Amino acid sequence: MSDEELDETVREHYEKHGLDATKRSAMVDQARKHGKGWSMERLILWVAVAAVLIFAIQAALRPSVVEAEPDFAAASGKIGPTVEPEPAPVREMEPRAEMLLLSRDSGTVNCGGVVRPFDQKMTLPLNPENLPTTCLVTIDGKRGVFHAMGDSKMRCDVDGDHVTCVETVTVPAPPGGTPILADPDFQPPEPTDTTGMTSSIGFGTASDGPIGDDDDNPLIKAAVTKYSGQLTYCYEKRLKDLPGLDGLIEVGWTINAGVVVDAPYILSNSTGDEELADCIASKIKRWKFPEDIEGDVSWPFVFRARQEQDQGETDEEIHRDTVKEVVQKNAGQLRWCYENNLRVNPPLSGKIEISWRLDDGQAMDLEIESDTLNDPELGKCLMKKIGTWQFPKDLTGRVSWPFVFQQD
Amino acid sequence: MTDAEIAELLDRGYRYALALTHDRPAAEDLLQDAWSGVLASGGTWTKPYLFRAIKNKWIDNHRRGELVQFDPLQDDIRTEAHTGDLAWDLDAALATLRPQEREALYLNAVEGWTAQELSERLDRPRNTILSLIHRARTKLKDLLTVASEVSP
Repeated sequence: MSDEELDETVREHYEKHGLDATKRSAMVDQARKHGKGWSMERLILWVAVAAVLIFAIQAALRPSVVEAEPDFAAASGKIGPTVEPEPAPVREMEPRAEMLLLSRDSGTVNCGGVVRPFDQKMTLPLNPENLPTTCLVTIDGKRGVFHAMGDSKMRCDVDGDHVTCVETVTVPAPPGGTPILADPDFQPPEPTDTTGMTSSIGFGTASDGPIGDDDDNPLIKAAVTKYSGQLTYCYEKRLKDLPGLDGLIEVGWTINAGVVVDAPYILSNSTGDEELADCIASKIKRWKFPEDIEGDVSWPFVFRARQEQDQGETDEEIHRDTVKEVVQKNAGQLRWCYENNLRVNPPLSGKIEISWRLDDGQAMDLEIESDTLNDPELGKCLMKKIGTWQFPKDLTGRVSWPFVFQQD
Repeated sequence: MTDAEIAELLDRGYRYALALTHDRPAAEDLLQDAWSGVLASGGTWTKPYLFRAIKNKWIDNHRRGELVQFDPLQDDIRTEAHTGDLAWDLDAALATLRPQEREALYLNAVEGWTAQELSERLDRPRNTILSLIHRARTKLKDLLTVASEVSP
């Protein structure tokens, strides 16, 4: 007998045996009573469905932390009298526009009363908040007028007895986008009322086009934003000696492998204060940029101070803006609390209002004023995080701040 | 899963239990215990899962000294094999095999598992599996040959 024959014999032997019909029926019934059968196919199906559901739920529950407008009317009485009316530095995040002016010859350009010389090529910084409507260009005693507009390139040439300026080039395409054609009929907006600001530094984009590729500009801007506090320091320091100091300082510097090489140079300084310009240049010299950035940068910074009484800004508003900055800066911590708590208590949505006392830059005596989330653990986590935040030390008093949590 | 599919699964489980125990009542009990365990644990109603449950239950019983089919004495089997009925002889011959040999032979010959699959599922070296199958076949051939020779 071969192995195959023996195996066949064994197979036939066992195939003849089957479970007793009664017992089999009873066991099938037992299975049915137990509920659904977990066949392998069904198991795989359910695992797949569960995975999709989990993914969808996670996507749906990805939270957003939204700050509600704080009710300072209610909290105004809590702001202590020790809040100094001294202007707190507020960074102006609005980028400034600029345009490129070209010519075959040298001359001067007068925009909004500011006369600047140019030698065949210059970058004209234009603050959107105070955009000049017209500029007068003078070349060899001949004059021409053009409308200045941001992010454009204007070429001016002598044409007979006049200087004719025409827009020649469109703005480079933004990353991933289509070119934006400058509108020849563009009318600059009226200067924005800057009441409400205390002192400010504005800064715009690099001149002469971005260094590297178009993506470098945001990187440079991010670095400039990061270090702008140093410039605020320079400015406020000079404000003590020169109240009312303001104007625009355009600084140029060269970046190599993310490091500022050589000393930054002052391209223009309408403040008239060399010390401020030197302070700024010395600060920029130490700035670090992403390592893959290199090239020349020119950057205009606007410094503006104003009389507090004239602006009509209240202590509460100063307080609010400053506190809001800190809240925004640390919103990620609150998001972490919220996301972390979602794991054990999903889903959460609502508003929690927390108050704290500012003392030497620290949040003290934190209390939950109201809570529609009804989640003590989340409240504890939020207060714990807020307790670690660093506020400007010159702010004191009590703050009440509502946080709204909702799912995207 | 339909009732017919469940019944087929249970029949296969029963045969496997029978291969382990070589005793019908014991196989039924073993299957019942294993099936209850599968249902209680929420396990999958699949052959590999059920076979694993049967094997685990059989090992548990083995450890307790219950339902263990010890190797019968060769002489007893040879006397039972005198009838000349091949089916009966085969059943008696299968009884002479060690449970591991019967299990390996059953899974290989009836369920069609290869030596490699057996090695992986029973967690034993492939050579050991081949050896078990070889010994089982050799014993069966010897016994069946004797039965055939002594029968009229």
